[in-house]
Amino acid sequence: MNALAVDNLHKSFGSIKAVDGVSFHVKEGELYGLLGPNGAGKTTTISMLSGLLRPDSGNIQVLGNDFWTDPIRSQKKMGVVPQEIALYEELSAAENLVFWGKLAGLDAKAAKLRSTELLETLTLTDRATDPVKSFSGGMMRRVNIGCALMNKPGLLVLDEPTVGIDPQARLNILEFIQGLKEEGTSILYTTHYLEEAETLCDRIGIIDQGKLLAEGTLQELQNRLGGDQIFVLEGQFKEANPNEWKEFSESFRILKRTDEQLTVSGLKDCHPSVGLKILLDIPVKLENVTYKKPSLNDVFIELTGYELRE
Amino acid sequence: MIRTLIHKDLLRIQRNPWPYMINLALPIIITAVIGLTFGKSDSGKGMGKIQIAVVDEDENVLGGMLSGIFNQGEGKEYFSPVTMSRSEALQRLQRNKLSAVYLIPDGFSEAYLKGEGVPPLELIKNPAQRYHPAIVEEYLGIIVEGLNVVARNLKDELPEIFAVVEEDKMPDMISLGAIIVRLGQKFEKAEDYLVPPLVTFEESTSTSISTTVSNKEKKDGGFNLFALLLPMLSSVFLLYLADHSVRDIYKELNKKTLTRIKAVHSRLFPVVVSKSILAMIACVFGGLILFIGGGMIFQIRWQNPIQIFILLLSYSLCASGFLTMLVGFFKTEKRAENFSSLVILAIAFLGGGFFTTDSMPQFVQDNISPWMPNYWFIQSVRAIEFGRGDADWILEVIKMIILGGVFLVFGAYKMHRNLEKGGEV
Repeated sequence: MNALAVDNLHKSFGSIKAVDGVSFHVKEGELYGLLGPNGAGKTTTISMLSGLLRPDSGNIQVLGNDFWTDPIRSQKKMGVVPQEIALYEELSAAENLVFWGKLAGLDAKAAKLRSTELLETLTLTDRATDPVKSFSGGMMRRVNIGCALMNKPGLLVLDEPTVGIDPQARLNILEFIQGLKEEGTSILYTTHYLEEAETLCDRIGIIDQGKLLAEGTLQELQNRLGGDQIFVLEGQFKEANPNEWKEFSESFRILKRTDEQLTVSGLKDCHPSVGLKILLDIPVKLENVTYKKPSLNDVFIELTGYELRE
Repeated sequence: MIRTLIHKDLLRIQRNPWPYMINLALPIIITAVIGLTFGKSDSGKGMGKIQIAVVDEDENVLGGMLSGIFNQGEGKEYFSPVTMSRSEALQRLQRNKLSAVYLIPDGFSEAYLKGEGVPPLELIKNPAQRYHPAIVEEYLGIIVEGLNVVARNLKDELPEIFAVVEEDKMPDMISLGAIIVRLGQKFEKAEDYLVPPLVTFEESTSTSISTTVSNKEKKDGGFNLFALLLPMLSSVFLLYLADHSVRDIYKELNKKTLTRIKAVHSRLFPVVVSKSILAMIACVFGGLILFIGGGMIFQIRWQNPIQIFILLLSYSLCASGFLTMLVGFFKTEKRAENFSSLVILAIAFLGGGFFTTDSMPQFVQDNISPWMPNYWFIQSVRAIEFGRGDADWILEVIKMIILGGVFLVFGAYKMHRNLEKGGEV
């Protein structure tokens, strides 16, 4: 069974199509990453599957239930971590956890027990009674995540949980999420950080301008670029017309082109030295050639035509 | 869920009570400042006595007694009366040298003692002053009621007394003795009602001074200006407390906790209701602190605490309902804050929250003030505590409960709709 199944979701704000026919699913125990730049439609998608926005059309199934038929029933089975730190800063970490736990349906005793457990997991036991406003950004983020875990959700939705925190705190959070995945929690994780998606996610969906452009494992996405071959050529390409280079056109696809740089992927599965020989024959004086395995960024460039900058 | 939400908000208030403390401290501070500036407390620390002129045009035995009432007993602690002619008194009033002029008209004693066509006592208040004339009026109201009581109960004896005292020769001591014996018998019959002195009369004065003053005399203690001011200012700052509590929903919207609540529980209506209840709780506790704490600070002995508490409950409901509706009309905190502050200020003035409504234009007194919930609250407190005014406190309680309920339902619906549409920050 899928933990989450999103089918042909649409949402418009006036004439702007924020989400345009997005479909994907998160398998049980899987960590699915939704990767895209700001404004791609990630948060709108999450808003629709957490009950904040009603979709114009489309269907959302959470752990086998149609979400919009009975939102509260589905919400009780899931946890949502918003992009912003949505906590009561006057209250302590423990009080925040207990409050969100009770709201998710736990009784007072169960909420207290669970909060103690979570504070330990989040390594915040010694600061449990301090007001959240005295916490660092990273600690607040951890409490923010903890609040969504109070009801032991079958599906955890994390909307860019590492935005705006220092690298060390970010690493801690990523390790924590990795731990959740290993415990079998199904997770939908949105991010615009490439390396987070690469290192953390079982499968990745690339979203831009409201459309899901591609999805799959990292390897599957890389394979879209024709295997393992990516060449970055440096030289003067301003006047060049690669379409006229016959052997080049038959062997390579241009991923990105600037006046000084050409990024290409191989169309044929051949040895890198063969590809290099073809490239050295093009009628442009090359200053440098780099051979590398395709990254998620290259896939993104191939799909959108621009680079996903962090 | 509502209980959880309210518990959370109460914890937040406990951690950061300052916005509420300010709204509680302000009425006490303002009461103290105004009270100490314009009047004095029972402790005797004051800025001076109220200057009044007594114009005795009657020049008879009763007129003489009445001209001295401001200079006897408790009166001399509060007033500084000076006897002078009408023209001189009016001139001094115009120069703002007096707070009021008290006139005993020609022929008052004779008409009163004969029990026929009594000319009204006159009180001319200084329109440039707010509190001192109100105090004079309060005091005179008690005297007038006393005169009415005597006139009603001794209607047979008074003409006889008049005949005795008006004789040119020595008074007929036998007749006088007989009258005194009859008076003594009357008082004996009324002893059960007079001791302890249960002095509650429902009729308003027939001799009437310039405003209608009725009913009940204070059981103990003298007039305390703080006791007049505290309910007035409390009524205003309780509105601000309610406003602050209700507007907290926009703070939650701003901090994104409201969005998160919706992501956990889908519906926002319980949140809206919880804020209204929070406002009511804040008002009730705030009111208790103001009345009990203020009472202790200013040595006010509330004679009817249960009635005041019921009034406070109903006023709190009315205030929280009203503010829920007011805030619910706006989609942003800033607009709600600006507008509600203005409306509260207007209500405060029109309902007599800052000064007594009889200082306002007649049109406002007659047509606007009586529609203000804070006016109902203030007038009811004054009626049950000081016997002033003709407010029926039970009726006012019912009005406040009904109106508060209607406001609350409508306001909660309106605010919920705004939030569901994604209220702005």
